[in-house]
Amino acid sequence: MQTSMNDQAEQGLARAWALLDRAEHLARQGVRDETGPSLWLLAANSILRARDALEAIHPAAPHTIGVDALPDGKCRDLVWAALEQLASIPKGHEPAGLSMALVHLADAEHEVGGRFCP
Amino acid sequence: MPVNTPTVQELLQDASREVRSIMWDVTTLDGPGLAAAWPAFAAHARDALSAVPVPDPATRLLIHRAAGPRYLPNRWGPPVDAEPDPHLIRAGQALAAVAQLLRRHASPPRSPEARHDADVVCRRIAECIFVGSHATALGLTEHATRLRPARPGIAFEQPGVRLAVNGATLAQSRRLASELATLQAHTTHYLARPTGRGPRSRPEHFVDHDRLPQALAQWEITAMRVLHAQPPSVRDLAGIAHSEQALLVHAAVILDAAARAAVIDPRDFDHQIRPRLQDAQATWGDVAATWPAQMTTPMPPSLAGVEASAQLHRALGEITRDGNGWAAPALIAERVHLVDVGELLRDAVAASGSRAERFADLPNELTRAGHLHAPARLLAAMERHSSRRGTATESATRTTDVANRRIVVVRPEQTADATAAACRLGRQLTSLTQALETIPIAKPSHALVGPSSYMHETTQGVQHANRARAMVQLTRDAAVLR
Repeated sequence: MQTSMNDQAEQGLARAWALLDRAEHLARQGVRDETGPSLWLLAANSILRARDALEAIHPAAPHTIGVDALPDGKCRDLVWAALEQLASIPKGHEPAGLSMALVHLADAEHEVGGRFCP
Repeated sequence: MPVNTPTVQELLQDASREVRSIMWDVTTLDGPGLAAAWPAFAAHARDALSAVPVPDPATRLLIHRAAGPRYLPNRWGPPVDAEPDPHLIRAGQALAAVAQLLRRHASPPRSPEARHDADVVCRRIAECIFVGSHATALGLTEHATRLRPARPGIAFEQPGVRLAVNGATLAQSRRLASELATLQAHTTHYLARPTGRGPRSRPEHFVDHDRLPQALAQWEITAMRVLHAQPPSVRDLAGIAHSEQALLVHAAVILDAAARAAVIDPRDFDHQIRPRLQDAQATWGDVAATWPAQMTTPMPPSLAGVEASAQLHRALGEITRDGNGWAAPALIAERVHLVDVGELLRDAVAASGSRAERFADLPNELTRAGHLHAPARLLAAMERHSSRRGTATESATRTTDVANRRIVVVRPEQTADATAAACRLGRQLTSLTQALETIPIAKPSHALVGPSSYMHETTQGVQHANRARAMVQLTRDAAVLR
């Protein structure tokens, strides 16, 4: 039971990592389309920090989820989906450092929120 | 009556800076030291929260939780025999001063603005509790992993066991870390709650003039450590390059405001600086793209690097952002002293050149040591991209590796593009630095100079940045010696 809960937590982290990786890629596409100082660059950087914070607490995250297994969506949807993944981690099984990753993810959500998404 | 008594806002900034600076320290966190300082810090934070007039139920609950989960006399567990962490002590002292000021001068809020201000104070204190508890919990967790349970015969041969005698024991560390994690969760919930108040006509925006120099200096130190790590994490390298890119984007926005305020010549800015800034920031993006997420070294990204980047982005955003967009140039000119920030950015761009040089050396260094791995498919795609641009050499990726989706060791010739992009960037940054040096930044005019206390704060901040930059140089020299 304990192992299954831990597996579920690790799956959630890995999936959130993959969602943020794709969201960052989309945000960087937004940088190319912008003229003038790029706000999408700042959004992409905030997503990057959230993704890297997740990888710092769960280094195996990038190697767990196949790219094909991810849902399609806009940058904002993917960031929200990542938030949902982390919220679904069972109580008591949150890894150390998750709260800091959530702070970065909240920054990312603020950056992409209300913006025309690529 | 002393005229230079710090305000509540300034004291809260001090407390916030102190607790955040625990996380800036890139050395190992001192878990026992933090645990030793925590009870007093929590008590001061609790006093400060209690001193805010008419606390709401959520704040009262947080005050209750901050008292500690256990029975008297030691609500946060038995005292830890270690030297208390100086940052947490100073943060506690600032919060104690906040409590004193509020008790002496604050009265129950009667207007929506006053209620909003009281709420902002509560939130700032809660943020200090959050960061302080996070750092302490992290330090204790790290400390617990270093300790080994005593085993007959070998207990005295393990240095970790001696730590257990002088600092927090294994059980103490684990239990307090877990209790602090609970407080953290509660504080997060408190900070996430809606305020239930209507929008204010003028949103509160306070720029801490020390924040950018400190965040920049700390980020530079962290970046140099990453760049000279053996081996660095690929994620950290991409993170540094993207932060450099963002730094130049923010610099363009701030210098644009400086040009409009006639702090620098607008024509010089348009012809000499802006195009060079745009080129260099785009090339930092290209350099970052040469370190894709699929490429790896054995190192995971460092939380210190992520945090330093976040602090730098926040410090720059405080100056250049207005909500989710860019602030108007006039607003930027109101927020900061453009002469000082202009000079700070000029120094940062100059330092950026040395980091670009390091980026030019790294591909060869990492591939020759066999540290760099990537999927064969990615390398094949990169080779195809290079061949379209006519820069490719003979293909180094085996077809079978591509077909079998293997992760392979990256060879030196496969990183030629990364080296070329970094070299191009180095030339662009040299040109940008020279252009910035030839453009005089106007001396402070009466219209732009703030009050003397403000100038003092700003000068302190720049001095701090210069000291930290000297530290960067030392770190760099040390790395070269190694």
